[in-house]
Amino acid sequence: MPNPTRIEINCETGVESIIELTDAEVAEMEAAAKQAEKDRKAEEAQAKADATAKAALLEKLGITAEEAALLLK
Amino acid sequence: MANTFELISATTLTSAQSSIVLSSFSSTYTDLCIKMSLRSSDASAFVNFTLRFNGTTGGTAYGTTLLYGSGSSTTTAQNLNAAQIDYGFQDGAGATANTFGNAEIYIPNYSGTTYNKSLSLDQAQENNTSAAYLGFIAGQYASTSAITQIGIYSSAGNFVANSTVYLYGVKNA
Repeated sequence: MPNPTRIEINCETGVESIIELTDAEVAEMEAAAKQAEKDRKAEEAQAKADATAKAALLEKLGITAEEAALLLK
Repeated sequence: MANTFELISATTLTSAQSSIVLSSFSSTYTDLCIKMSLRSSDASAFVNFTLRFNGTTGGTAYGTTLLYGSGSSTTTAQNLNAAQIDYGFQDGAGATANTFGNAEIYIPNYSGTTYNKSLSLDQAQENNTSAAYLGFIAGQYASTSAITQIGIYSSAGNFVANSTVYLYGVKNA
């Protein structure tokens, strides 16, 4: 199977060139994709943990999120 | 749109591409603005894209700070001393069919050779069936070199056909 391609646009001439990626570029792209997915999952997990901790704290305090926001004004 | 905007390049993909590279644009504008509509072939609903300038690979020249909301929460993320501007948003194949994310990038003083380059990016990943994301990025390219090439890279899958990229030069901004 051929490697993916990239498009290069020469803005001066308007010429668009389709270029097949080298094996090294494909490997780099795959590594970047893995890292991006790892980062995204970590951020989602952190956001979920933060939301859970916040809900638990509000319950412990016996106040709503709106009431907590009012205290911080 | 302000009459100081001049269209430099308009590209609509006719086939899937892993990246889109803009080069050989004039250095005579004061700023650059890029307006994009992107969708990835990757199976996820949400897919990132990244940016690199002047054909750089590797290194630590880029910094990205992101603020985004999903409709149920707001979050920030940061990636400093990185090899690319991170956290671009686009739709993937798992998002609502025929729906593209969109982004606008503003790069002031792109052709200067004294200071590092900064950019702002606002973007939306559209998805009518579940959470969608709206995000804002502050980015830096720690290089005093003029920006002469802009690379836009899909972090997973390829940009699908009908993704569009419009490059504008801004004069007297």
